[in-house]
Amino acid sequence: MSDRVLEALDAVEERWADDLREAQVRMLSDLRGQLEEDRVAILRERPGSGKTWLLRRIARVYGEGGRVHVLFSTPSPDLAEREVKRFRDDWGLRAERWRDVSEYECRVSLDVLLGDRLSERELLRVYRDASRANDLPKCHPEFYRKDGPLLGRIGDEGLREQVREALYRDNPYVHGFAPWDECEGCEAVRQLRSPARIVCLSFDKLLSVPSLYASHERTRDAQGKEPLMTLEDWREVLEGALVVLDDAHMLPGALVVEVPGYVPVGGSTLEGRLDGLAMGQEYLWRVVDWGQDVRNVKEALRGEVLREVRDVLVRELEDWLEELRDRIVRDRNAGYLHARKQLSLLNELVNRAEELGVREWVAVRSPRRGGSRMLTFAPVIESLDQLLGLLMGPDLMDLPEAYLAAENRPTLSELRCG
Amino acid sequence: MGRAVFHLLPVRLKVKDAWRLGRLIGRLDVRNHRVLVLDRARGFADKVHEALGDAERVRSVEDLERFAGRGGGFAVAEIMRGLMGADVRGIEGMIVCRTYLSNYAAQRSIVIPIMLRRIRLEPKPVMRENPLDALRLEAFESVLHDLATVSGRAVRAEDLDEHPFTVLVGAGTVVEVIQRYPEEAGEIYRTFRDRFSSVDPRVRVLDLDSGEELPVEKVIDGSTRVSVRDFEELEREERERLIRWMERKLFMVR
Repeated sequence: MSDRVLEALDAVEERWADDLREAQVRMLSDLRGQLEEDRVAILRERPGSGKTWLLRRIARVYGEGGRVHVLFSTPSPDLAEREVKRFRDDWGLRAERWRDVSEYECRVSLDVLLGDRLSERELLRVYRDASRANDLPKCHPEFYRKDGPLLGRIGDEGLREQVREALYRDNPYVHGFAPWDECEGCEAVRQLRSPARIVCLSFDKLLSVPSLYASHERTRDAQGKEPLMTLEDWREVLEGALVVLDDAHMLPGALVVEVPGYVPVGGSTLEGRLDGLAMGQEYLWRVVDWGQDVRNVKEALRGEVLREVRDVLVRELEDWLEELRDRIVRDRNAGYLHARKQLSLLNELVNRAEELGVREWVAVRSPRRGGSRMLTFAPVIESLDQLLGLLMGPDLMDLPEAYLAAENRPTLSELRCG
Repeated sequence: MGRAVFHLLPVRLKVKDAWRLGRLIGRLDVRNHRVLVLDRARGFADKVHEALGDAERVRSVEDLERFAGRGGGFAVAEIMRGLMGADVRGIEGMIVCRTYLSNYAAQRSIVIPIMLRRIRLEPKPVMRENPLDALRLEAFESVLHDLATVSGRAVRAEDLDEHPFTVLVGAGTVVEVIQRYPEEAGEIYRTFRDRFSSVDPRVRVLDLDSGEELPVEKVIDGSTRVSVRDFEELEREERERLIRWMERKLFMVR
């Protein structure tokens, strides 16, 4: 179906004719066969059989020719780093890794962030105490923590309070990603606007990319400013791209979202709101205690309960987010910033799930540890289309030329069957 | 190196056992062997690391690849998403303390089979009656794949007989469930063997009472009943026997 990918497979077979093992030649013909039928091809040979080796070479050939992109995605940032080194350092290709937002150098100086809310003298004192914070990302909840790189370094309590107040007053980051004009010089923004031919990134990152564009557009719009990048840029990347999903049996794990239970929502807390709907993890600990009553577990797994979780999320999540934005400013709580990030991600997933016909969500409440509980949310997935749609976004998933996946336990392949 | 044999110990491991398990493993002679100790949780891995004394604490793919390239010794790591994908050729022993569902389950590990219940839980006939048992059977299935993956990482190319010594210590729940559901467990095992037929994997259960290694088929079909024990209850001699067994297995690897 996809000539460009088929050509890449042929080229790999020719170029590495002497290196390919018998099993890999079989994999190539298996991929051809699958691509005749479908946009998704899945390798499921045993671990150690050379699947990743093959995928790297296909990606390399695909990335060398033409004007299209390759997204090489792995379960962890660590592995993505290993891959980018191979493409960039060993093979001299134009490749880059998309990192977590917290890992980029920030162009928004403390001056821009706090300047018009502190006197020059106060600002100087802040610089003296927390100069390192100047280069750290202001688009990440970590920056705003009381014991973080800014507030945690300011010795004088009065000044610290003052900075904390200034930090939240009219801070555009409360509304979204990369809101400042200075963000134009940021490497993260540069990557999102004009990516290298080959992009290596973790599943988590791939999942959240569309939200970064959307969040950015929203916050710039709220300020009446032009966005520095738009979802259109991402569409252009995806158009005709080859998406590689290595160790794809780990993919469902990327769709699990954890949110702290103490977050205030609808006059209660998230934990309170989901009381009776979230399954207590303690029931499931009984996996090792035999002879226990399983009624609780059966009850918690009933379709009605899972559908009710979905209904609550669909009905209320957007209100929770709006409410939380106000609370962030009012309470100046960095923990809420983190929660907002997680809830936004959950909201994005809920919206995608709705379009894909996902009707059930599972919520698990973990036991209290260090005073607070965590709620873990995940969509119940019935098909491969749903899985890829959740990962990429339903309106974007058809843009890439093909998906090549490798898995060590039948997961995508089982979801595809019937 | 040995062929693809994965060992299950009918032992329940709890968080508080980490230190003693680490001390026990620390008695292995690793001057000429690289042994990787894995657990699913950071705290547990930290404790084992502390108990081992002179061991690497692996935190990244790079750490692991470096360890695999040097002389003998211990390394400790969490079964992180990334590590399972690393090349660890050159490691002779893999001691897995607990995988995700094999022992007390962490929240993510419970959520994933539920979100994939159409392919993970519903095919198990027991699901309707008892979802917990379905999760336990899923634990058995995922353990087989986890061990094959961990062990397969150390094996590259066509050298199929170069598998490291691979053992899951905290396999108590798994051993228990296969004895309770011989039919379903048998089906899972056969499917696993078919899928990995190119390496012809074998799974063996160490019977702590007799010290004998039993093919998992015999445990499944009930011809030998294996008792599952709490780690903390093991007697001194039993622990002694366990470590001698590990040492023997490790030395049989080349």
